[in-house]
Amino acid sequence: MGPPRIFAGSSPPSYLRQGTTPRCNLLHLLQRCNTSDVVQYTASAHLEFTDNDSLRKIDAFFGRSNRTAPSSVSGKEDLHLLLQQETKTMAALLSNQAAALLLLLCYIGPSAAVLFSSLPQTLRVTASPSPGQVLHAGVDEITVTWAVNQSLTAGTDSGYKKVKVTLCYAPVSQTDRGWRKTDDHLKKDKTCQFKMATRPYAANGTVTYTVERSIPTATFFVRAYALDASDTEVAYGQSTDPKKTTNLFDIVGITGRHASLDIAAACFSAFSVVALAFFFVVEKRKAKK
Amino acid sequence: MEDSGKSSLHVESSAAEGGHFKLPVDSEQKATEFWLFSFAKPHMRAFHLSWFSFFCCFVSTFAAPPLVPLIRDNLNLTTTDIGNAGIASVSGAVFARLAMGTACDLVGPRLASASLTLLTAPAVFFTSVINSASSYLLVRFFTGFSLASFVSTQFWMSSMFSPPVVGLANGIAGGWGNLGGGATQLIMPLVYDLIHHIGSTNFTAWRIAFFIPGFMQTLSAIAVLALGQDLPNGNYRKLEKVGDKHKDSFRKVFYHAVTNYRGWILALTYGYCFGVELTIDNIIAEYFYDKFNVNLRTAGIIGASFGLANIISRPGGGLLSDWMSRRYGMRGRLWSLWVVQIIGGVLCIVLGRMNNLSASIIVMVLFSLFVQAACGLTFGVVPFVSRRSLGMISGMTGGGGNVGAVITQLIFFKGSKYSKETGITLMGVMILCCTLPITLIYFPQWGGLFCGPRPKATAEDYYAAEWSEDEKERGYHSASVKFAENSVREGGRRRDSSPAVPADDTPSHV
Repeated sequence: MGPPRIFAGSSPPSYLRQGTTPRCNLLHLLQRCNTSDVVQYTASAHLEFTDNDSLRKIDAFFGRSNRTAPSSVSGKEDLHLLLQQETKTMAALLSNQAAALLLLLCYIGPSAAVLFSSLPQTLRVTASPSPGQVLHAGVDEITVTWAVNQSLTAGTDSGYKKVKVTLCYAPVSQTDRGWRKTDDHLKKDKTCQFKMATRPYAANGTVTYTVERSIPTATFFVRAYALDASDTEVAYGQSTDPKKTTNLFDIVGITGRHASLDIAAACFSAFSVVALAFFFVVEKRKAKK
Repeated sequence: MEDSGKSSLHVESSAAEGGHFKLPVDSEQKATEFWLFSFAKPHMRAFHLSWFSFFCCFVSTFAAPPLVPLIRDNLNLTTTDIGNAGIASVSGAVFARLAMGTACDLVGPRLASASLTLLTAPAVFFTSVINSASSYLLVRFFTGFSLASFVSTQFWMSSMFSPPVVGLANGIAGGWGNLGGGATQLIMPLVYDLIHHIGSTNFTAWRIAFFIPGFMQTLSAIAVLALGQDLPNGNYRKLEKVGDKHKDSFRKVFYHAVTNYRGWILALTYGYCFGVELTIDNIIAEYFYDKFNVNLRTAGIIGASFGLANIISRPGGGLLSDWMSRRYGMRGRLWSLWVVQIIGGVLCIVLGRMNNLSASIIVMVLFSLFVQAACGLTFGVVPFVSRRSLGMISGMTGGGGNVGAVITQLIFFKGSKYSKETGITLMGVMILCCTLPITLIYFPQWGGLFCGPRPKATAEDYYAAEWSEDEKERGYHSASVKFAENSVREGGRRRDSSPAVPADDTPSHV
């Protein structure tokens, strides 16, 4: 019997970490939350309860009779429901909604700290361009296929609600370009700047994407993120190896130049020079008079 | 002396026409008052034409930085390419400013500035057709030449406005021109958004946007040619023909400029107020974006506010210079320059150490006020260093400003040897060191920072010393003599030993 073990996608506030709470019921944890935490947390968490009281409550709530593992709650929705259940059975100090929000937000860690290295690679992604193929912006298409890795346990993808397919810079296009830097914090990461498509989650899927005219000339690969209900990344898959060296393809962007622009530039430049010459001549004539 | 008899005849005859100026004028027909909201010919009109065309040049030179996020993707630029282009954009003007100074001395500020502006306008138009890192560097380099129109602005103001108001006139003209560096960070993204909204793809829209600064530049130069004049009583060519103005020799002008040590000292110190301003224009938005994680638009607004402070800070410096001169003469001008620039240096050191966003913005704004005021104060002193080589001294000082920008960016902001905040702090230390030479400036007739004037020295001697006896006999130095008389106030209130010549009356003893 001990306090609930918490596995969150990010680091929770200190009083929720293992061993710091003296008692282990939800109400106590709720009372310890303070409102300043409210604004920060939106990722989901997974809680394992190991004390008898909580075990019974959890089991009763989820209607489980035979227990093979410590009871656990994961994902935001489950925690939300759990709190609602809890507050019905005691004199609530806060309104349901506020409490739900607080619990929600107190149990789960700051979203800014969703780290790429913490995401499991559960999707297999293939992109249609062959390695080294050159595509043209505005003209060519990319077909991306993803599938959940079959070798993983069933139920891993229960939290996946959407799939976001993105176009990402390869390391060769990132050198000496700080605005494309890879950062482990997903909110700061600039590797994947172009969203190709977002689809509702299915175990297998395909998207076809016409390369937009705003895509610059660079080398790319494709990455797909699995998002949960709050649009936070929970898993990923990519068309290249972890070192991002294989299966890369090139895109050639549009130049943005037009013949009309070239002509206009030449005309106005000529006009400027001619105007100057004109005034020089006029000056000379005036001085002669 | 006969030649002074000749000049007195000249003076009287022009005094008869003097009545047709709207503003009160002195014996050189320079305005003794500054009426900001007037377009009166020729003084205030010259003021508005010159500050606006200089503003357009600044807008063009710094039009690329706010659009760099698009340009770098379109042209596949690296950080090194962008940095090199930034250095190139300010280095072209180093020599252009020197050349400009000479051109002003020889052909007059109107023709010199309009020629420069019209000849650099093609570089702005051709920015819309570039497609590689090297062509980007070239257009920025050639567009940057237009910053030399600063020299013609200062020269023109010094020719149109009398010593009591020359600091203010130079300060506002310079400040409102430098404003272009801040305004462009707001103008260009706005123009781009508009064009993008109308329907162009992003890589075409930024190219079209560059036609706006190009138009502005061309039109302002044509206005200068059509509506402006070099001196209160006419243009150089005409005056030279009539004989009112002697056509000077380049060699002599050059010699008297480079042998005047004060010009060199001011060039160095200007490199550490204006040069610092240019450096900050190039790096500040990126600094706030990276260090405090604000978004690009916010970083652009913060960066723009640094340049926009010029609307009051540089004129404020000019005003302070003139005010100090009324009480303490030239020594007041030098003291205020030194103190203000030192404070600017200290604030620069502090800026690099700030770790909090709002504190950082406050320090940056204070820093901009002081450093830009120092620029205004510098050009309160420059008109008095030389009369014969005014253009070249202005050019040297202006060029020194750009040299400071190039050196500072090369030492502290190229590559990743220093983090940006360390670079800023070290730049502040360099400002302090390079401001010390102001203590060495000494005018025999007015004194220096720590020494008083020599008892028998006069302004007339100082300015007349630039002419040989032969030239003096021919009366070539008459303009310098008039200038010396009008500068009598630079001796300060306590020095009443010189004959008090009311600024707007004809001096009777000549």
